[in-house]
Amino acid sequence: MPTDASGSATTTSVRSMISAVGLSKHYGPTLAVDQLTFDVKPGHVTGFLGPNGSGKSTTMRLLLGLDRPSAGSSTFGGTPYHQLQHPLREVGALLDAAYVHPSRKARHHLWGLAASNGIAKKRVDEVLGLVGLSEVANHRVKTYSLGMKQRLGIAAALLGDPHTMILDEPGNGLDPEGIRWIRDFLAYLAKQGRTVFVSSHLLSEMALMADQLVVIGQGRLMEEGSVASIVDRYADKYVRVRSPQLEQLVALVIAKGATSTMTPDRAAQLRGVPVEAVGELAAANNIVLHELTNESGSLEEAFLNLTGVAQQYRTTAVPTAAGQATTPPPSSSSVPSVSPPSGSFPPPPPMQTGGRS
Amino acid sequence: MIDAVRSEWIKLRTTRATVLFIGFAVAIPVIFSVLSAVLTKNPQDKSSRELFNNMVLGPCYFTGFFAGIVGALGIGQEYRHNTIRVTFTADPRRSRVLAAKLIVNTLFGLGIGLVALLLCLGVSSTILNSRHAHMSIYDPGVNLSAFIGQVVLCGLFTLAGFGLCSAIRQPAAAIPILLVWPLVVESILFGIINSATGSERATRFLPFREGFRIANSDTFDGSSGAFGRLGAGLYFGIFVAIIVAIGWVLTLRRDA
Ligand SMILES: Nc1ncnc2c1ncn2[C@@H]1O[C@H](COP(=O)(O)OP(=O)(O)O)[C@@H](O)[C@H]1O
Ligand SMILES: [Mg+2]
Repeated sequence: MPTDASGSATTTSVRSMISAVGLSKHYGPTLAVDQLTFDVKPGHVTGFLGPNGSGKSTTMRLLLGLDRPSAGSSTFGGTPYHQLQHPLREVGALLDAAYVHPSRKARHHLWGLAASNGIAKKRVDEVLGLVGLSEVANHRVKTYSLGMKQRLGIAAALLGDPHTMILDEPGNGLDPEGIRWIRDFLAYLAKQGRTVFVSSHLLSEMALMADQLVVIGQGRLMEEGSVASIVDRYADKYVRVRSPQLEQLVALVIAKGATSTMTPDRAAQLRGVPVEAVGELAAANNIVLHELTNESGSLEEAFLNLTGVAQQYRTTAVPTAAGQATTPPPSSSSVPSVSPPSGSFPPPPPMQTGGRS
Repeated sequence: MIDAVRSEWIKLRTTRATVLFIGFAVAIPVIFSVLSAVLTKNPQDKSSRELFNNMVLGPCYFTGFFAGIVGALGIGQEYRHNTIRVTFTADPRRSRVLAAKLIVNTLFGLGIGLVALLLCLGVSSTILNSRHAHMSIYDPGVNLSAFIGQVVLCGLFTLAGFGLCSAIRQPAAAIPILLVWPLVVESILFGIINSATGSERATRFLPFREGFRIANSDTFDGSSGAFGRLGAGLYFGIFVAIIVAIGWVLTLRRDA
């Protein structure tokens, strides 16, 4: 089972802080997690972001002592998971909503879990109510939709009223309404001072759910910080402007050292100049403005910039997978349209509206 | 530990498979017992020992195999549906989980063995009584020993299934092995050893074969056997314990 915590108690020994120190995991030749060190603090929803195959699930299994780390250690408030007396009362985990016996009724599934940690049966009905499954509690789980299973998984994680929650891609397979429900729920838990650690491969989803981020690519830590600061740093930001005297304005702005690109709808995207300066420049030169806004590129673009390493990995991986029968003729515009092989990032642009794979 | 046992008991009794297995494990031997009691010619001329062997002990070998499947599924379903990860998250002390599973499933195996035997005994002796034949669990005394042996055999089968499936994690592989090994592999080995050595002595070391013998009132009649009934049970028991130990160690070591 898991290794001992080798004195990994970091500065603040908050009871519910998750702490990983130098966590690594090899599966044969595959290095799934590579020297991962990060902290997850209470009172926030911390997103765990990385492309598919970047090691999120593996990291979560390592945290929970299910897989043994090849190196490093992890603790919950200074205690390794396997030393927690009643783990469910401290840490609630949802690894995969499908981890239920299909022919068991939801209520019985929770009974079995509750019993293992000395939790009263009436708590089972409470959590079923919390996630809105009371009416179907006596149905066999195989009759459940994926969304219902996710809710059941969250109910299971809530059984022991834990101060820490770990959820692996809880938004997977949910409709936008379901995702909103989860988002509100996690925010509510965090507001109560709990530690919430939730993974996703979609920055757009994370931007809605989380306020802190731990970003990984190919098992390595890439970024750690607030969502806002990370989006700020990596998002493509520009000033959008429309004007009947656009050419004149663009020339003036370029003279100031900015760059400009035209959009199909006859607007200019100006980079390297603050929006105020554009406005002042226009006023000073009596230029009429029809539009002047600060814009930023899509979150998914930011994410691609952020996980540049993983992207590199993808571009080398695609040609080898191109032998698949259904792949269209030689890649015209190399990457995006082809569904990438497992272990890489899903097709980028139309994500906003929820085009999960 | 009590929490762990309660949890495993809830898991065992809340799957449909369990209900099905109780049904099969009990119903099939009873059907054979009834058929045998009704169809046997001139039962009044047969000894209580022979009738007991045919109508109570024999049919309940089925139950032993079902008990083995129960043991295999006790851990195997968790791997099949990946619930083992949920289970080990809820209680990361894996030895405690395994011990709880082992206790619950083995008691269940012993239980269905006992119920099946008692039902077969009740049904067949009622039929035999009406046919003026005599069969008793106490006459001769060896009937009772074999009866207990059959219950123990069910428990050991559960353990064997549990150990095997802990080691290979695939019920779809463990269950066929559990059936083929005793019924086919050991029969073939028996034939080979028997004809090579010209005596049955060497075949005594085939573990399942020895296990089956503890549940038969014809065996261990003083003359036969390298081991007595107790010795045979112990021998099979040690064999089963080794399988369980291998499965146990692997479960502690492996990633879940
Ligand atoms: N049990 C395992 N055996 C072998 N390889 C694994 C196992 N689990 C994960 N991997 C590999 O480790 C890498 C990380 O996988 P995973 O943690 O599932 O990523 P993510 O959850 O971020 O999609 C992948 O290359 C995956 O194939
Ligand atoms: Mg994953």
